[in-house]
Amino acid sequence: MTESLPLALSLLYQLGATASFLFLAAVGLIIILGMMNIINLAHGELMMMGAYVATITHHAGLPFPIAVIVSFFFVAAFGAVLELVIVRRFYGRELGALVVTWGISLVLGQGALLFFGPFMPSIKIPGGSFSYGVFSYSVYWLILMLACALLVLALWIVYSRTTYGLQAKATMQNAEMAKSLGVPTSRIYTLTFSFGAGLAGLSGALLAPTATIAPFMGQQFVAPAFITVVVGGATNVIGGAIGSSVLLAAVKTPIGMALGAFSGSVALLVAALFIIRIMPNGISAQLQKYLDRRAQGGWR
Amino acid sequence: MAILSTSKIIAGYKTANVLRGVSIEVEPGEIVAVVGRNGVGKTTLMRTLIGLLPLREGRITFNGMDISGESADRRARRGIAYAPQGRGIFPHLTVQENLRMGSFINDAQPVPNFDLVFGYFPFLKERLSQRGGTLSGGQQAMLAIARALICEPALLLLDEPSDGVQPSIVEEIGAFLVDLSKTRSISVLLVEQNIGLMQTAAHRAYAMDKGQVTSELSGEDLKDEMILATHVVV
Repeated sequence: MTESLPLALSLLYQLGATASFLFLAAVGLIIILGMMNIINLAHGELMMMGAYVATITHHAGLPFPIAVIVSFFFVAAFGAVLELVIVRRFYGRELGALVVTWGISLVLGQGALLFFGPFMPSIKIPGGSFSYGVFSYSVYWLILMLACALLVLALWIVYSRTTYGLQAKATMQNAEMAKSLGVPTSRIYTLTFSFGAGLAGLSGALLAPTATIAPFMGQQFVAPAFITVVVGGATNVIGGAIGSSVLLAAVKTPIGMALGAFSGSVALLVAALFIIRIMPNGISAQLQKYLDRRAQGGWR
Repeated sequence: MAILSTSKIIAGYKTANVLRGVSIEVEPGEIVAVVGRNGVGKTTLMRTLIGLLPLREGRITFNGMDISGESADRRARRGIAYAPQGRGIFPHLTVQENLRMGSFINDAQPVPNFDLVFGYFPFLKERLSQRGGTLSGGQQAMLAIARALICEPALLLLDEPSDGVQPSIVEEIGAFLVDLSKTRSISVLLVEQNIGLMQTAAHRAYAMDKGQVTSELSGEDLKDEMILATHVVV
């Protein structure tokens, strides 16, 4: 009994940390994919940009939380410019959008290398750590879990309580209809791409203290981000991202703890394969089916 | 002054012109039908009027203002509501959210009038939290009309509301249109194939063929099944 409580807590902590990492890596990508059907291959570089902005402003003297918020707005503004100048020319041409965002990612990666060199002194992880039983816990990862919870709440408010959220969901489902009901759809696209980019920047900034700050650091986030997005599906963007990051973390964490980190990553990939095979439209489509069934037969 | 007037409008897809010089007028409070066989350009006319299809030539005026070059969202905010063929219900939005999507039509009336549409379609009130995509075809047709009306537009463009709807609901829609034109100053341009609905609701009609208006039918002509049939039946 005295042995199992610390183990259970540590398992829960690891699970929360892995899920938080997956959620943060995926959130900007899934907003842009789910709302606009654009596979944004520059996602990793937008996260890198967020990490750079946070690192540079923090080293210049800004407190870290402020630096994170600055990153969100900086990368969101950059995303708005990208949408207005380049991305909007590729709506409805998914492969074109894929190639052009890949091009943007190359420009951003090489640009960072050119301007800032191959590496940058990173941010010291804030908060330190403490131990309980034989396991140690990083305060910062606990903060990240809290940040994820706040982010989920903020997203829920934006997409279910604001006019922008309603118009964005409608535009995603039927852009022509939304437009003929008075929605300025091109502004919705700009705002959505900007918001997704800003979230990528915010995630990059939040994860910056845990990573090495380098021009190609974005790459390490891209693969887990895409896996999380595909498993989550686009039916319900936020629900999908949460469900998928928690489920994948629930597979990866115990196996990683028992057999090592490498086996954990393999388990995550295998689990993703199985989930996509069983639910081709992702977890969120399955969730939606269940909710519909309840709504139709629920109150009788 | 006519609420809507078009002058020799030409529009189409790619290299083909579907509308070849259509001129029509709708007066305030009038219900005007557009009749014609499949493929004569009725839906293209509606899409051009709301602005989803660009005008190639001609002029559209709404309330005396030239709106020929304006985008669909701009026209909607001026007070033109559009209920398309196939309804255009947002399947993953709830009934309430679908109705709220009508509140961006007509800048003159920014607050959605839920009581107005619940008065006509009471079933909507009980299904507010249900997703639009899970409603039946007839219910979706009524939701699309309710959404278009919730901010009391000056003009309603209604494209085949009877399509795929059971007869009792078609009758309900007809009765509702008659009542609407009596009690509210809302004009309706109605594309229809259903002779019964046309006879119940429309004050007069334009008959179209091959992208042009071939004749104007008065209220008297509409009562004559033979005249109507020649324009509608293949």
